[in-house]
Amino acid sequence: MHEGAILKSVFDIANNSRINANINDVQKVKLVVGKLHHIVFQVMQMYFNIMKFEIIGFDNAVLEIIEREPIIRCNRCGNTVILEEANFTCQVCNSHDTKLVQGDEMYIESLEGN
Amino acid sequence: METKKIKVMQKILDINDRIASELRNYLEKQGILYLNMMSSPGSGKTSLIEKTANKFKDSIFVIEGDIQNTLDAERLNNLGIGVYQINTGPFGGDCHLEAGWIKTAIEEIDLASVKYLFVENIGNLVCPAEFDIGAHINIVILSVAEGEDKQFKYPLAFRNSQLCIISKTDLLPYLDIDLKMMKDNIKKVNSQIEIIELSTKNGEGLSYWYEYLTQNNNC
Ligand SMILES: Nc1nc2c(ncn2[C@@H]2O[C@H](COP(=O)(O)OP(=O)(O)O)[C@@H](O)[C@H]2O)c(=O)[nH]1
Ligand SMILES: [Mg+2]
Ligand SMILES: [Zn+2]
Repeated sequence: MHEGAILKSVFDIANNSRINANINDVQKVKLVVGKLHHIVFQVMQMYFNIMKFEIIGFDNAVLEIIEREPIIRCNRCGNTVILEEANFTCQVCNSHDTKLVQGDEMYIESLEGN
Repeated sequence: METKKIKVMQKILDINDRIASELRNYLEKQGILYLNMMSSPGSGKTSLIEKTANKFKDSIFVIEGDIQNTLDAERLNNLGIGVYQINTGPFGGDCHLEAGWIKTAIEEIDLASVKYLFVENIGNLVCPAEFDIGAHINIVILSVAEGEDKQFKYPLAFRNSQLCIISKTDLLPYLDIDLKMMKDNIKKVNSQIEIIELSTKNGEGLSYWYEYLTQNNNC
């Protein structure tokens, strides 16, 4: 699985932000992850709670992950729906011309600490 | 002490994505078509590369991703094909390749006569789909034996690919699979994706594949 590789990037970015913001004791790292990504949150938590002790300033940090549902909008009829399965065809007018408006994001939203 | 809250708003795979873009541009400038092959184990990636190398000879180079062994690299090496092996074992046995590893590989490869650079990614449809390695064309390979619903289970691999190869069509007479439904389902996940059906065993469809490669190499 790739959760370890993803968390390595999370810590790289979070640690830079920590240093820039003069935070010595990080309390929370908040991520936003779209449901289209194959990421197992329990595995993320498990790795986070191991890896955090290897980086200065993160011993007390908790990981919060905000999950985003995949949403498509039809460019023909304007119908906007949450995807139940990965069928990107418009269920109202059958058009293939749809746009994913949410659900494939994966970013660090914020950092909290003092 | 007061708690500070800092907005970060940075993509987690930002650095990987930046290296991927660099690679994409660099290889385009060199006139090399860069293709990333993703599939479950056994869908026929290595077999198709073997066939292709027979046809395109020295203009092909292959980067092999494997967790542990070098069997595929040896298979290709025995055919006289240029191969570079990346074992992800040292990186903790990752099930994907990252742009930075390809960049390091490319720095060691002599690309002078190369027109097509293939990456055989690690055999699964989950992890490789998450990491952009900068390929000009991402290819997802699905054999007819894998059923009609894989694209719904691994949508990212299909969303992020420009070409889907349906492989092992010689097996169709022995299977109950509905090929039309399989293709319709693939288009439901990605309506823009091109589809080529082929068999490396009896050779059907291979001419479309060779044509696809020639057409997309604009030099
Ligand atoms: N019947 C049939 N078998 C194939 C075809 N292509 C590959 N195979 C077989 O499928 C197995 C796995 O192929 P391989 O190329 O190693 O798959 P990879 O793991 O994706 O690299 C091998 O036993 C191949 O001989 C095909 O077009 N038709
Ligand atoms: Mg192989
Ligand atoms: Zn519609």
